[in-house]
Amino acid sequence: MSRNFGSNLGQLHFKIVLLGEGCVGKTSLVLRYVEDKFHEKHFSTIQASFLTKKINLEGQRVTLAIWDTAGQERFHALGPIYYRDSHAAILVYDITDQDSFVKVQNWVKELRRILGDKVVLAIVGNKIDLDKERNVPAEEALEYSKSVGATHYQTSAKTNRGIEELFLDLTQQLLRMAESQNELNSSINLTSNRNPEVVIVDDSLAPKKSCCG
Amino acid sequence: MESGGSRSSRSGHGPKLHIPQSDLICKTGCGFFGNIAWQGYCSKCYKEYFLQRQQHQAAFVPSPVERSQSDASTFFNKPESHSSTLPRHGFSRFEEKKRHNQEMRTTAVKSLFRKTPTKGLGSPKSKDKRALSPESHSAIIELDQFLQTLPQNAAHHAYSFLRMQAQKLDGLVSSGVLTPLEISDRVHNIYQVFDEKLKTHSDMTNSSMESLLDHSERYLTRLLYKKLFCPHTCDDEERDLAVQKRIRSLNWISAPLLDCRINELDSKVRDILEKAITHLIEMDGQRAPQDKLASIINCSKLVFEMLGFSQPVSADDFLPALIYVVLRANPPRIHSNLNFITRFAAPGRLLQGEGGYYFTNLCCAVSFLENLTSDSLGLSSEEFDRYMSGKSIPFASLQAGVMVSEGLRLMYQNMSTLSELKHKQTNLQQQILELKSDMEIFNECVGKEVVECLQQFPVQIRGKRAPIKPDEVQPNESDTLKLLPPPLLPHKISAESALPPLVDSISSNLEHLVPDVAAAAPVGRRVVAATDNLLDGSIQELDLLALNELSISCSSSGEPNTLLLETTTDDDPFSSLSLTVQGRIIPCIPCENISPTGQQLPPSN
Repeated sequence: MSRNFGSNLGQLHFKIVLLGEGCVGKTSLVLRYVEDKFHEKHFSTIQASFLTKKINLEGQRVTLAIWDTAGQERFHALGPIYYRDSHAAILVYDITDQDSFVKVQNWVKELRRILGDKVVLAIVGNKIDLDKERNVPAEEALEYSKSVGATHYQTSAKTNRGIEELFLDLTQQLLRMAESQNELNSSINLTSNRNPEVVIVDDSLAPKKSCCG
Repeated sequence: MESGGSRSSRSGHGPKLHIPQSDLICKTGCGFFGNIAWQGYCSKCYKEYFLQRQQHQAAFVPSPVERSQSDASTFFNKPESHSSTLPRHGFSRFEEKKRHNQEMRTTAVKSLFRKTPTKGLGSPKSKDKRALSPESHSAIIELDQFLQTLPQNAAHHAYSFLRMQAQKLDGLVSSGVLTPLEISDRVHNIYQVFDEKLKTHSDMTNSSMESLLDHSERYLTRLLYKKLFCPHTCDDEERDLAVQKRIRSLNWISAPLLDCRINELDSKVRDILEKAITHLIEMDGQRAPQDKLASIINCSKLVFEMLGFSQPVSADDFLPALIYVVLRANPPRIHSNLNFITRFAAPGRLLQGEGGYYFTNLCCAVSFLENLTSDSLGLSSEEFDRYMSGKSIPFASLQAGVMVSEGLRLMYQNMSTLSELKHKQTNLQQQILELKSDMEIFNECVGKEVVECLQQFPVQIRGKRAPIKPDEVQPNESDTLKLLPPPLLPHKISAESALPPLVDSISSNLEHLVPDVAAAAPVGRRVVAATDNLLDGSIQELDLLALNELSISCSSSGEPNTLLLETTTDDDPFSSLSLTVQGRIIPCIPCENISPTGQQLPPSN
């Protein structure tokens, strides 16, 4: 079964998986984007691990399903179960924490190894409101992102900077990818769409004759 | 073991080892061998019997048959209670037979050793297998009901297609040549082809198309559940048992070891936890993938409820909690269930939507528990081994009440409730003390203020303002009484007497007055003297009124005194004098603090 981009109802569904060490602000980032809230009392959801956002981009209705993952080291091995079949991955690190950036590099390697080039990668340096305590140089991160074919963003969930841009840009990339994928698919479809083993019998009355009884 | 339940129950009333020959003969006694599948008839007799029955049925219940002729469910017989051996008419009858034959074949392969040599006389098993389970019945009924809401043409196509595919699939699965992956591919292919076929029906709305796809998924999986779920060709069952055993050996893991924020001693949390566990265990009882997913979603929502109070729960908290729930639930056949969903759920279900996410998390939880090592719990390998072998139990688990019996757990819970109560009690006591001291302080403050007020505005409390009755002796006015002139006694005054005692007393009183007033006394004396004879000694009161009356009477009484009297009234020395005399004997009340109503006035600013 091939990964299909979007559904048949003219609406595209994208699965975006959020990866990153604990405490880098994955949850805050996505809550800020989906609910535009940060550390507030009244969230309309009791969970922030699976959130969806519907947007309309370039006349195309897009639904983003954002999957949060557990960032603890002990759950690292479960990563492949999470990012299986995902269209994009957002890798978050804390600009004040060099270790979290190293972790991102590990994720990138893993993702490229397992999902190949089909996945859109976004590397996000979060907490730029703490620029004074920065430990990951922006240039280094940018360079690294380029080298692995990912896009680098800088955000702050606290001050709401760069988050809208991040998701908008990511969605655009996904749309472009979906288009190219669809073209590819349609060319394949012409040749072999169906499993040749399955014989579709339109007329159910065909096997009418009975052998006994 | 639950996983073996269905089969063991079947073999429970399994084949009889010996069947008497008389039981094998056709019921009509035609001499041929009968078959249980034909209700004990031989093939010929059964055919007759069946035709008779069909006519009989058509005669008695004509309407449903008629309806079904025009209906989409033409090829679908209403399930009868004893339909297990009743072939359906037309094509479905054929199908029924075909399936039956296939089943017979597979049964033959599977239970060679049980078979009696007599052809066709299978074990009672074959009969059981032919009977549609209640679950499959309801699957068929549901699909039928749904199809009736659709346009006839589409419903007809959908039904025939699904029926067809179900038959094919059944045959393929029963043959046992396909690997689970191949079966899954086929099922997905059916979904896909069905979807494409539906698109050719322009008279269907998107929503009805989606629900038709949903129903078809439900129909296929429920109908063939027994064959699709945990097929014999894979090792799901062994893995189920392995997981179950593994989880059982991990029962010493407590919530804190997993960094999970579940506080089990809280009875509210425990209630939710138990509900979540129930949902997770219920999943095994559901048949359609979407129903299983719904159970997982319900379970996950309860986990969120258990964790979330102020902040939305992130995956960092959710996954450990879900792992803990799985650990506590130890759901039956978890591996087979997960595999079943992966294989047979419509692809969109697991890629998009909540269900997919929670399902993935459940997979993660199971996988984590399967591959759990000492490192993932932050324990040393010796400790881990010791706990795994059951030689010791982590203290934290004891505290968290993981390993304890229900009674002990209750005790712990009560203890925690008691300590909570104690805490509340001390709080209350402290508050009482605070209130007490507050009250004291208030009391003091008010007292102080009152004293200050009193010092600022001293209050002089005086006796009641009594009406002035100068001639009445009041017992408590003895001192003032002394100041009063002695009561006047009526006198018979003779004309020749020079000075009556009344005038005398007045003059004696006048002695006390200021000299200038006293200087005027002779005038008054004269007046009194002049009026004395006129009044005939009846003067008793010495007030203004009396004096006025006196002067009036004087003026009206005689001509010779007129001049003298006029001078008295004009100058008014005597009247004012007599007032002064009167005023002097009235007890003095300072009037500056007394209002006209007799109340004390507030101090003026």
